[in-house]
Amino acid sequence: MENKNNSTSFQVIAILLTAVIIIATVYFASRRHRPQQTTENYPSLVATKAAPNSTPAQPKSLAVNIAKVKITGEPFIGNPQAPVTVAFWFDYQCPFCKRFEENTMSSIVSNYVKSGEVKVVFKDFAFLGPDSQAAALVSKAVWEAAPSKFYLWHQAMYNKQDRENSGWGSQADILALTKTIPGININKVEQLLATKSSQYRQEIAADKAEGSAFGINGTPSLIIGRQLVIGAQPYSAIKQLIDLQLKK
Amino acid sequence: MKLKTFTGIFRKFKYSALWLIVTVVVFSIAVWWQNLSVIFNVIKSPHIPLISKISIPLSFLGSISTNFTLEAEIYVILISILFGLSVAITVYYLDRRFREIKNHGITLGLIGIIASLFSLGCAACGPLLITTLLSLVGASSILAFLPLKGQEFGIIGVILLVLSIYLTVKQIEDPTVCRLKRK
Repeated sequence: MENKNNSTSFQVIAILLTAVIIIATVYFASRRHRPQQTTENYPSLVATKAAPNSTPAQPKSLAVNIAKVKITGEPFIGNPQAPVTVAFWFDYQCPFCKRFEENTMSSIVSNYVKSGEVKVVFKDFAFLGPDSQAAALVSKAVWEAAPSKFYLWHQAMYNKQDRENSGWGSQADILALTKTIPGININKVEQLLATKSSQYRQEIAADKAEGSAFGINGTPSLIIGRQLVIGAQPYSAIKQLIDLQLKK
Repeated sequence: MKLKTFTGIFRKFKYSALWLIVTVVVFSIAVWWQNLSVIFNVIKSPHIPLISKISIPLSFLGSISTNFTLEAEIYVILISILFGLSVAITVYYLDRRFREIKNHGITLGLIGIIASLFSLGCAACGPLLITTLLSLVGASSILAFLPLKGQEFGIIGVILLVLSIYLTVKQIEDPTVCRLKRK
């Protein structure tokens, strides 16, 4: 009799636990797949509404293909005529982007970018809050002011990464860091920020919208050929996908 | 006693192999989850050489160390191992039950299995359906915390799987033939 009661109690507990887990899983999954909403929490930092037709409307979804990625005007490293282009969506506050930068991107740069085989195009997916938006904004100005120092600045940003939206990471902090990098004219960067912030915000928002159209919902994400690679994948995996493209 | 039953099951090659296979499959799916489309594209592409069809999916498994937090790594490995154990033990239990059908007659054996599945009025058998469901829910928690959020589900998944294994082993030790009480 006691055994039967135990069994019934267990079933009730198991069913309740199951229900809680399913509800929580659905909640977290749905939250994770709507990164756009994150920026809606920071309306002052999101692109001001563009005048009609000033920002190209993004299609709802795009088939993954590097040929369809907007490359013109975007920050990049490597030979402009490189046979393979890799599009890289990232957020300066994302810890996995930092990991990817240190473990994978540095090897791609050493082994493929420097040899002129690969061009890496940097696309913003600034979805982690105010510090992400501030970093993306300054990155646009740095690219325009000193394109040859962009990657050095980009690496310095990841070296300074701390916790999301706390401590280091305001625009003033980032400008102070920018001053320490030789070859970047800080006055020009500040002037660009003063005059072109609105345009930069639109470009940042367009990068993210484009990524979302390809199915990107988090960072880091890359498009290599017709493959969308999500997450901080090891160099060995990315290297093989690049090699397949080089053989084409 | 339960440990003896447990180790006894895995002395048999069939169940050890099943444990290993299920563990590897669950682990691989969990690690590949975000990039399953890349894996499928590589495997089905006629232009990619066979060696790359093998080496690319294998290299993506390396993301266990680059694309997961330390806590998530531990949970993915633990949940894969525990789910493999749970499946192997459940198959052992069902194997033994089906042998009972042959030994004790079809009607009694089938009623015993069905009753144990739904746990209706059969306290001795225990709720196999519930314990199996537990192990599935436990294993599905492996996906809940990928890649960044909801890691708290990992520990619940581990607990549910351990519970599921314990209860299944307990069922194995319990009388093999259920006698339903008539009201």
